[in-house]
Amino acid sequence: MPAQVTNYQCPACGGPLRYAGDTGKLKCEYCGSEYAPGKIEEHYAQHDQTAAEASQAAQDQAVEFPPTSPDDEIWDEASHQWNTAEDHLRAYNCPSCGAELICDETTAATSCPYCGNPTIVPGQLSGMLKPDYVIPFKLDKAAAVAALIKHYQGKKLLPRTFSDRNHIEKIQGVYVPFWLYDGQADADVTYNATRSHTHRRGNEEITVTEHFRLRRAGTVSFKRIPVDASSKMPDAHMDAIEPFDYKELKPFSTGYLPGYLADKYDVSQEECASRADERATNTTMSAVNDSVRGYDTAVPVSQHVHLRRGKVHYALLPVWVLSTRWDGKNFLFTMNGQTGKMIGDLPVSRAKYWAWFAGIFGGLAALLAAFLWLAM
Amino acid sequence: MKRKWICLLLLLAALLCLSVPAAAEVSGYVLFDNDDFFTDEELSELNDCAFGIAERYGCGIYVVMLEDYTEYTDGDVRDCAELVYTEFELGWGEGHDGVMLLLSMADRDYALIAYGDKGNASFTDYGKDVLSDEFLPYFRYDDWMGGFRAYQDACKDFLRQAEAGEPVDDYGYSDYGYSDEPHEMSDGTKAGITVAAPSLAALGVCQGMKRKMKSARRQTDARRYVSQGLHLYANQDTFTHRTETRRVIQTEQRSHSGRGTTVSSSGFSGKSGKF
Repeated sequence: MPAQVTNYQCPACGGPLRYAGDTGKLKCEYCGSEYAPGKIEEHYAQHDQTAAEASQAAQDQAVEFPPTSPDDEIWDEASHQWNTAEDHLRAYNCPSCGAELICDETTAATSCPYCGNPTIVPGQLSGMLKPDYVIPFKLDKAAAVAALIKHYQGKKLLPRTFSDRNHIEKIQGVYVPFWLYDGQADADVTYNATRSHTHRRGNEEITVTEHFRLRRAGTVSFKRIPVDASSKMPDAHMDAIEPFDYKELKPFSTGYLPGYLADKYDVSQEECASRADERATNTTMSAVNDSVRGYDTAVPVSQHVHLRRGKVHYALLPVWVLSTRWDGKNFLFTMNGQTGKMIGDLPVSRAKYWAWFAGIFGGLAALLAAFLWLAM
Repeated sequence: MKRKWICLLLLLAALLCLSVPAAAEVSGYVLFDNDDFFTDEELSELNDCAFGIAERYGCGIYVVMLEDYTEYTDGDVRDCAELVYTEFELGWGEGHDGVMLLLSMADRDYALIAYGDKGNASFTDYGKDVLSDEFLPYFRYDDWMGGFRAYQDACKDFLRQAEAGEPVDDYGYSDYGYSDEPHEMSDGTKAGITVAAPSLAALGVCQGMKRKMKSARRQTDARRYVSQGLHLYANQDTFTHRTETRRVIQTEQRSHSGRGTTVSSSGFSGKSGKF
């Protein structure tokens, strides 16, 4: 594990480079120079390799906390908790200012809290851990804030003070690790189906029902079903910001990372596979059911779905994460950094809920009462 | 045609002797022109029941079953029924009150007529529709005795309600007795509807608004990621069997412009149709 991190610095002036989603290039904040990510990555390839090796060496010399003495029993529990947390932390040195950075063990890209320079931990995203693809950010922080404000609009049950008083405590562009699953699903389904027609003879209504046994078997192929591979990101949020436009998938390059957080996966592709399987199974069954046409009823009596897994790709996908605090509670919002789709649960004002209820109830009750007592 | 009338008269005379010898003013209650229509036991059952009703309520309850009514009249089946009623001087008491159901088997025609003040008052236009619904389902399956029993039972109920001053009319009818309650909603029902319906509507709208506040949901399908749609390699449809259900179409709504009984100049009221 590398103990050194890398800044992509402007070859012209030495200033920090950040990835700009609007231009798709790394831009120097000082001299305004712009560079293609590939060029810069190539330029720094040698430097990254060195940093990774140095980071690994430092990792081997991880910070050790003194063992608790028998006399310090009162601190045992706290010390234990601290040690547990410490196990998931890594220490690096900022190559710009030399400050010590304490990061989560999964952090692959971050910013130095002292000098603000974007930094990359190359070892987290190299070798076996190197993603296959990345979708670069297209939307910036301002777009995320604007989307959040728009997200509030039209929500009639949103507490008035929520949009006025809550503050965005944190807003961060994050490259979230995803597994993208290819595969096929074979379904074999048997149905009991009926087809009825009714005719009239004299004063009788005669319904003739024909009964059938149907069999439908078929295959559906899937490509790149995404499942987020970060335990820190809520699955519902990551599912809900879909879809990503895969046309913009690019071969992975660390050149897209400066200026954003990036995590490596901490949920294996084997653990995530069940979610992709479930989605593939449901879609296949739905497609097979839709193939039953021309019947009034069709009830499945037996169904077998066999999944054939194909390639699994590892990709980093762009997500803006916004957290706000209101009334003592945290609210998490996520925005697709490519399409701008904003997701996040909002609080419900009980007062507004019951006010709307009373208003609708009162209006309808008055109309109904007038109709029932005056017209009938 | 003359031969048929003679046959009918003879049968009626025989019935008078067999069934109701003690009631001189009461004619027989079942008339027919084909011996195969009824057995002796069936005739006896129908006559006994009809006599009991007539004696109790003062109104004759008649059943006539003919091969073909056109052999008796050039008019329609209702004309035939009125003709039979008049020719045989049927009916109870001086007013000849009564109701008659005539079936003509050739083309499955029927006529239902009433006569006299009590007959017409007890069997209103609406009441005759209700009465028809009672016996027609049986006749459609050639269950003659079932239909006649239903006819006599219903007539008894109609007469009972008429005697109570509440003849069956179009201000209300229920499957369990011939209710005269008008279809007017009670205040309690109105209040219940006024509270329940808006409550449900308001709850539905508010829950819909509440659902909009939650947007983070797990995906359960992968439609967006289908690279090659369903390729069916087995597509078999095998016919197994056929079933058939039959339902008699009930007249759910009757159109009446008013209440009461429409009485013709001849003093009869009635209706006719097919069974």
